[in-house]
Amino acid sequence: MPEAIAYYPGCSLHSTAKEYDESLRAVFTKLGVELKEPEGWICCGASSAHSVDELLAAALPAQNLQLIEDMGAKEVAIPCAACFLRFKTSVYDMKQSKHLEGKVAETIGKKYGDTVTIRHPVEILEKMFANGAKNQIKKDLGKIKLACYYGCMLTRPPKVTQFDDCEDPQTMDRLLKQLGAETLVWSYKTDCCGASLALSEPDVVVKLSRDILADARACGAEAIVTACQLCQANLDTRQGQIAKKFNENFNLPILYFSQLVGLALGLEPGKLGFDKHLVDPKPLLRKYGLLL
Amino acid sequence: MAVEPVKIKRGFQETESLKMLKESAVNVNLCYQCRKCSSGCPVADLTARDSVSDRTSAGPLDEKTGAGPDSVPEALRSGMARDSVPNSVPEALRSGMDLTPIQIIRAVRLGLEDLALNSKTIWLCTGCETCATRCPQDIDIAKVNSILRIMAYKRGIKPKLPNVAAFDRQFMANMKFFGRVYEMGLVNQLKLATRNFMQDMDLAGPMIFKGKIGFFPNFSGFLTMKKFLSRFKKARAGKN
Repeated sequence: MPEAIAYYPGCSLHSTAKEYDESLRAVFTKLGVELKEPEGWICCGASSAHSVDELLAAALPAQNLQLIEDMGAKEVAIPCAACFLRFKTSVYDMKQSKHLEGKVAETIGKKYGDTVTIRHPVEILEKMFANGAKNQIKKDLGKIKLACYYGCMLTRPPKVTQFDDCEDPQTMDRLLKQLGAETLVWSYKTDCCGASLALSEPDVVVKLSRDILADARACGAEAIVTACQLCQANLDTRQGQIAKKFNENFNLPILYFSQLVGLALGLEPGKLGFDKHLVDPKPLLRKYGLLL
Repeated sequence: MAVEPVKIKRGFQETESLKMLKESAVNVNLCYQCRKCSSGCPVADLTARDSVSDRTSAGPLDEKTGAGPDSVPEALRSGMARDSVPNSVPEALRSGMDLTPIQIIRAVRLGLEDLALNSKTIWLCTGCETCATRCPQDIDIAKVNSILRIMAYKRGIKPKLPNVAAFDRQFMANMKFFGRVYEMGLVNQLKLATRNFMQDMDLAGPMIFKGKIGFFPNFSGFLTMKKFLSRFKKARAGKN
């Protein structure tokens, strides 16, 4: 029987970020781990609930954690960085305030037992590869030059997320180096892409994303690797608008770490969603012999 | 940007924002004005970082001197003076925030709540938490912005950036109705609410073509959300 961990994909991974969901599932299945979604999970409230109602912002993730606890899971993988931070913040805030904890208990019907460890799949995979999954690598990534982009919500605030070094995280770098890639030292790895302002003040996102792309290119990146679907969407889909506004054509593919792990494990590239990106990554992957 | 002089009342004022912050264990009085929050903020001054990123931008060379954007004087100049803003920065955002994060903290400390509630800053904050992370006094400044936004909604204050408020409202309505966010529905709701029908229409074609858009809502969380919201209403209405 394969090992199983709980999996909370979040709303985006069922729509605009399908390729992130599909590549993750393919990778974990290949490594013999089943990802189990809790039945009837609901939106965690990112990106708005915390600016609208504090109780709602804490209770929505707690409700989902309760569903996961009821499944009997000890650990949940949350690939969406925004959901990841909302879940961690909910647990953190309830520990800070007895009052909030009580109100949340009222809202979700019981006191959340706090028995579930919240982890991002990049952490889980990095550990798995450090502990032996390395011998399942079928294809070396051949020194492809990658800028690992962590963004905001995995790393900050560090007292809440407890994820690596907040100014110079290395988890994704370590993972991709094990697969044979060359990861770069660059300045914008934890800078903000503008997040959900994409839908309300897109000019901000265009500017911030452009700065990130510019630094990655200056440092010699052939692609940026992300662990968040909002970062991926902003950096990938805005390159046309950036070209118009700033007269700079980056044409830099933006990949998910899970897609590259999938390639290294020898998975069928058709299952990893390389067709879904606006900046086509296939020419680059062909150059490295990773695609036919 | 210069801020109009303001009168401060004598004595300590326990304002609603200070009360709410206390409940959330955020103590703005610990601030000793090092300004790390403002210098790290990606949106405080959208032009400030051009001194860094311009080293990579291939701008035209000066015909007479041959100096390009990589030259030191240019790199030093941009970001230091606001009148040297490159044309590429959209007009409306040249100044970024009207109050920098530290000015928000000052305003809240001095009981000048209205100044903070009527700022662009609280709507422009992306919640990236760089300020909170770098604050040596461990003040969660991004959270201060969220709490001020909650207050602005409660008091019916007209938001300085109405599109951001529209996003929050439509997001919450969408999430509460479907249980899980129906992204395509959200985009359409926003277009109706803000009347910006043409915004990002250049992305619609490629995104549909690449199969990035889910056309139908997912109702698997519908019942959980319904039950959750009825309990939430009771908890919200209850004492405390």
